Amino acid sequence: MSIMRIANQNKHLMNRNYLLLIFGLLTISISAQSFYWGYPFPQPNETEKTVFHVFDDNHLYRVSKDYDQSIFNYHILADQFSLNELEKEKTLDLSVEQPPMGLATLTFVDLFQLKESDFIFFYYEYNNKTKKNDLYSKLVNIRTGKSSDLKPAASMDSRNGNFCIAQSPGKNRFAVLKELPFEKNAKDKVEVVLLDKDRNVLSQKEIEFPFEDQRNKKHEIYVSDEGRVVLLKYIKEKKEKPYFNLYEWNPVSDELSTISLRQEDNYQIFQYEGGFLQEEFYFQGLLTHEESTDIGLKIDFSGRYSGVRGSGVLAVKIKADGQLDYDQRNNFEIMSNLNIKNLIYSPTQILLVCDRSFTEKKSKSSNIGQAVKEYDYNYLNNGFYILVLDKNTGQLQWDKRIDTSEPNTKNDNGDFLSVLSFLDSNNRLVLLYNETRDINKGAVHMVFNRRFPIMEIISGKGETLSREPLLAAGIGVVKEEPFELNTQFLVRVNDNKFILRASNRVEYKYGYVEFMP
Amino acid sequence: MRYIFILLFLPIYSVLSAQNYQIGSFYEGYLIKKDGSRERGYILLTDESKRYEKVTFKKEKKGKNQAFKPKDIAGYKVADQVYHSVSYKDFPFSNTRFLLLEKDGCLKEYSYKFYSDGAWVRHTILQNDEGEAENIDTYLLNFPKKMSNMVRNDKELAQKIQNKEKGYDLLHYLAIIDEYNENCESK
Repeated sequence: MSIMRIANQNKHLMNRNYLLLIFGLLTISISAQSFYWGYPFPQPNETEKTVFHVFDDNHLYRVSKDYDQSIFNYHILADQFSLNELEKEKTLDLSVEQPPMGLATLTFVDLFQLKESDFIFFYYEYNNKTKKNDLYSKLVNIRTGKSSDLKPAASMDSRNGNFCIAQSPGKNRFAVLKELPFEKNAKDKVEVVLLDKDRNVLSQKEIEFPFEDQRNKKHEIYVSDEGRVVLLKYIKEKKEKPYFNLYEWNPVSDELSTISLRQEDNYQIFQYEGGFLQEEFYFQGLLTHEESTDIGLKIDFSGRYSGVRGSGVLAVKIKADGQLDYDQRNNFEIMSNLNIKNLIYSPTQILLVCDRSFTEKKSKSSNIGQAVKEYDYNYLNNGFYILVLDKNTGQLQWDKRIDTSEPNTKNDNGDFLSVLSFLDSNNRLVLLYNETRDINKGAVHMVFNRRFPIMEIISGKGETLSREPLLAAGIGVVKEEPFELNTQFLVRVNDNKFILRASNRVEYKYGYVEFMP
Repeated sequence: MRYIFILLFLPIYSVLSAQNYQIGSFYEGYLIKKDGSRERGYILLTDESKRYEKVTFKKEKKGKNQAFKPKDIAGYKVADQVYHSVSYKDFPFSNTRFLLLEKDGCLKEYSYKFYSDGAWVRHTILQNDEGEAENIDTYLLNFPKKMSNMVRNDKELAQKIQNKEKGYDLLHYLAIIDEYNENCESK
C-alpha cells in the first residue's frame, strides 16, 4: 500500500514536473516575441502595383504606384498611418492632376525618398516648340502633399525615347539614362546624366555600343554615392542568343569598362538583382536550365512546374576601383518557378531568398477589343529556396530547399504564399511564412483550414535551428481569427523590431513584432 | 448525413468568399468614450438606416453585444470610417447623431445619409473649433453671413466670405474648409 502511495506521489511529482516544463517552454517561446496589431483598414488592390513602405518619426507611409492605361499616366497614392497605433489616418493622391477635358501631358516617371517624408518625383513632358522631351523633377512631401515647382533635369532630342532613373544608396546622387528611340542602320547608343541631390547636372556621357540599334531595349541603371554609374544592358544580336553586359562609367576619369555576362552555353539570366554597397557593385542573376523553354507541350497537370526552370546563379562583383573582382557561376539542382524575393547582405555572405512560386493570369473578358481588361490571377507556391554566396568570392557556400504544401489561392495577390526574411542580431537567417493546417478535430470530419505563421531560424551554415508556429502573434491558428500573416512586406524599424502586415478577405492591418535578443 | 452538412455549410462559405464588407458582420474597431479614450473591440457594420442612430459593440469575438446611442459615447470607428456623436443645428430643430467624419481639422466636415422619396439624400454638417455644428443646408439662404460666422476665428477668411469674393461661395465650401484648416494648423 505504502509502496503504491509512494509510486503515486512520484507519478504526481513527475506529472507536475512535466507540466512545469511545458509551461516553462511555452513561456519562453511566447516571451521570445511580442506583437502589437494596429487597426484594420479596407484592403486596397495591390495586384501588379508597385508598393513600398517608408516611415518617419510619427508616421508609416504605404506608397503605391500603378500605371493607368486610360490616362497614359501613373496613379501615386500615399496612405498615412500613425506610427504609435498603426491606425490609418488619410490617403493623399499625388498623381498628376488631370484637366477636365483631355489628358495631362506631364507624365510621371519615378519617385525616390530623400529623407523621411520628403520625396523627389520625376516627370517628362514633350515640348512642341523645341521638339524635345524634357525631364523635370520636383520635391514632394508625402505627408502634407506640398510640392515645389518643376525643375528641369535633362532633355532628349526626340519624342519617343524613355528616361530611366536611379538613386544612390546614400540618396545624394541620381543617374538618368536617356534611352534613345530606335534608329535603323545605326549603332545603338544611350546617354547618361549624373545629377547631385539638388538635381544639378554634374556630368554626362554618350555611350555608343559596337552593335546595331535594337527595338526592344532593356536597361537597368545603378549609381553609387560617389557618382560611379553601372549600366546593365540586354543585348539581342542577329543569330545569337541574347545576353547581358555591364558597363561601368566613372565620371572622374571618364573611363568606361565593359563586363560581359554572356554565358557560353544555354544558361541564360532570367532574373537578377544588383546594387551598390558602399562603392562596391554586386550583381546576382539566376540562370535558366538549358532545357527551359516556353514553347512546346508540357505535361504538368497541377501547374506546379509551369514556370521557368533555374539551375544556376551568377555572382559578379565590381570593386571600388572599377576592376572586376569576380564573375562566378554556381550551378545547383534544377528548380522550377524560382523568383527572387529578398537579397540580404551580411558582413561575409550574400543571401538570396527565393520563392518557388508561379502566377497564372487569365483574362476574364470575352471581348478582345476591351480597352481595360479584367483578369483572374491564380497563385501557387511550392516552397522556398535559399542560396548563400561567399561575399568575397561569389562561390555558393550552401543552399537550402524548403518544401511547403500550401493550397493554391486566387485573386489575393499571393498575399499568404510568400516568405519574409531577415538576419537577426546573431546573423542567423529568420524566415516567416504560413503553413496551412486542418484544425477541425470534430467527430464529423470536415476540412477547416487555418494558416499558422511559422518562424524558422537557420544558422550561418544552413542548419535549421528552430521551426515553430508563432502562437503569440494572435493571427490565423483558430477558427474565430480571420486575420492571417501577409507575407508581402516586412519593414525593419530597428535591429529587433519590425512592422508586418496581416490580412483577411477585406482588410489589412499593420503590426509590430519585437524579437527579444 | 454528409450531404446535409455540405448543404448547411454552402451558404456560409458563399458569404465568406465574398471580398467586400458584409452588412450585419462584426469588424475590428473601437468606441470613443466621452473622455476621449478608446475601447477596442468588434463593431457591427449596419446599413445606412441604422449606423447614424446606434452602434452595437462587443469587447471579445464571443462577447456580449452592447448597444450605444449618440448620447452615450463620443463616437466609434469601423471599416476605416470614423463616426462622431455630434449635436448640430438643423432645420427646424437641432439633432444629435453619429455623423461620418469626412474631413478632420479645426473645421470638421461630417455627413450622413437618409432615405427619402426612393433615394438616399446626403447632408453635410460643419463643426468649428468652438464646437458649434450646423447643417450646411441651412446656409442656402444666407451663405456669406452664416459661413463667415462659422469661420470667425480666421478673420481674414471670414472677411473674404462676407465680401463675396470669387471662390468664396457655397459652391467652393470644400476649398474654404481646406483654407481654414491650413491656416489653423500653421498658427
